[in-house]
Amino acid sequence: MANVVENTGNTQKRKDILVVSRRYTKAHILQHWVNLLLMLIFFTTGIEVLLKKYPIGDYKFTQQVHLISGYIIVFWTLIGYMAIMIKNKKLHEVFPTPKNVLDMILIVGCAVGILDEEKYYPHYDKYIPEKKKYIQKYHPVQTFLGFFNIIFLFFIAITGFVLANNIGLVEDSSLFVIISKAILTPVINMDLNIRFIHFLAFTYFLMTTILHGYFSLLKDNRERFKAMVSGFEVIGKMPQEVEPEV
Amino acid sequence: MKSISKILIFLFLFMFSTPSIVHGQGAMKGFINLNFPDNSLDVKDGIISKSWDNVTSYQNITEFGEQGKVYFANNRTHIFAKLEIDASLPWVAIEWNSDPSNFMEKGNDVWTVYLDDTDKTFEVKDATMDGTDIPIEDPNNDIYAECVFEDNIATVEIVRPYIGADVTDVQFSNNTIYKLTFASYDAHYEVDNQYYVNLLWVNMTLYGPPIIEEPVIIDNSFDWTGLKMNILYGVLAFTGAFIATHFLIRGIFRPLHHPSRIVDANYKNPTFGDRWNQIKTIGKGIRKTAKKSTVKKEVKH
Repeated sequence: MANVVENTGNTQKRKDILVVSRRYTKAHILQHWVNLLLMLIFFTTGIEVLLKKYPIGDYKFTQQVHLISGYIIVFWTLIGYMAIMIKNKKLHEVFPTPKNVLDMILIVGCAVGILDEEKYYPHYDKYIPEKKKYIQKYHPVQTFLGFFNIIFLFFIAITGFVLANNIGLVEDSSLFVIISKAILTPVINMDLNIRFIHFLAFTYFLMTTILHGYFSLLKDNRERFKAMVSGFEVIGKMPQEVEPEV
Repeated sequence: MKSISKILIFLFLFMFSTPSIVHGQGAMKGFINLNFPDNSLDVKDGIISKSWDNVTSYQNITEFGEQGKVYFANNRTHIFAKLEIDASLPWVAIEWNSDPSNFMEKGNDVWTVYLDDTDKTFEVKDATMDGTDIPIEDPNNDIYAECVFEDNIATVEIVRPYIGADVTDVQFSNNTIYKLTFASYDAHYEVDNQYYVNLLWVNMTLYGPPIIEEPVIIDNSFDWTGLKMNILYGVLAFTGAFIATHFLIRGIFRPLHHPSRIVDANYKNPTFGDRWNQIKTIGKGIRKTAKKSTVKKEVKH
């Protein structure tokens, strides 16, 4: 934590300390921006395949770029990132709790105007400077988002591997294909459309990514957004009594 | 097969994605097009018409896989086709009025068939060649088609009127010879930055049989692509509406005022029990509280 001293006019007795905190680690920042890059590649190549229009390269090239990005995000997010979270004992941050459900009920109630915001809004993301500790760091919706991102990423990955195998981009002997087919066997047996499931997962990511981008640009979240670049955010000002100057 | 056609396979070298077309020799004997003996063809019933059993003119088309076959027929107003394709091929194409001297030229009419063996879905596109780039879809799709997947073979049934709606569409007429080029995904491959294409050419002679009625074409199948596009536009519309609503409520009319995020070391985050108790009180005085709060604010002002 870095502390910046600022005068308030009454410098003899009191100073406001600007509290700045490290919100994200370098690994977290890297993970976030690599994910964004991969998302852009997925959206672009996925839309190209959906519309069967290829401004860059051709069908085969586009499919391969899509698939390689798939391998990267599986290793990066489903394996690497999860390992980092477990190692840092922060896995609980990406899983919603029953309390988050109640928080969301209150948030929705306040948003639609049936609850008094002053009394009921469950303010989150508190910070204790003395302990350099965040309390309920994320908005309750973010915990659901983190959880469902992993679920949908898993499903979009296994359906993607089966589709890639179908067009000959991945061999039958690939471990990814074997595992994916084993998991999707009930779906295949029910004759459900795997590409449609892949598409539904895509629409989830499209929607949540747009909303995530919108919320990150809101005034209330600007410091958090900056922290996703520098790692640090200004939490606020903390009054502190000081000895009178002689 | 020996008496009907010769199969020519050409390899074309494309350097650094700037392909040049090498001309080869074409095999020029092909279909003698026959009457299609059915005036009521349902191209979306999930069944390949039995009428094809009476169409004996066909070609083995190895571009469509080892068991690849193509049947053509007509009835003076419409041209009919049945394609038997290796279902694992992502796409095949039939280019019209093309031969070794002008294949893949811009402006040539082409039918492209996209297959998905996993989902058992397909799509036939009425398109126009754009040189070596992906064919451009025509503004009007004159092709009616259905596909049945069975035993690793995708059988596609196609109907198209003689007169196409687009300027690049081949306008069929009787007693005319048409040259066709067949291509498929497997025949396009890249080795060491060099791009190869295998194509197959045949001729089709279109004879006008004495059938005069136009076929009844029924199209009532489930449209997966349409559903996907509707979902996509729906999701984008919902997201846009949500953002607009949120911005109006929280950005303009009722901005949310968060208290200081800095708390002292004794701060205790509400537990599940605390929240539960808080929610239990909602029912009691939900409107009262809101009313009082409003009155309080008014008094302050």
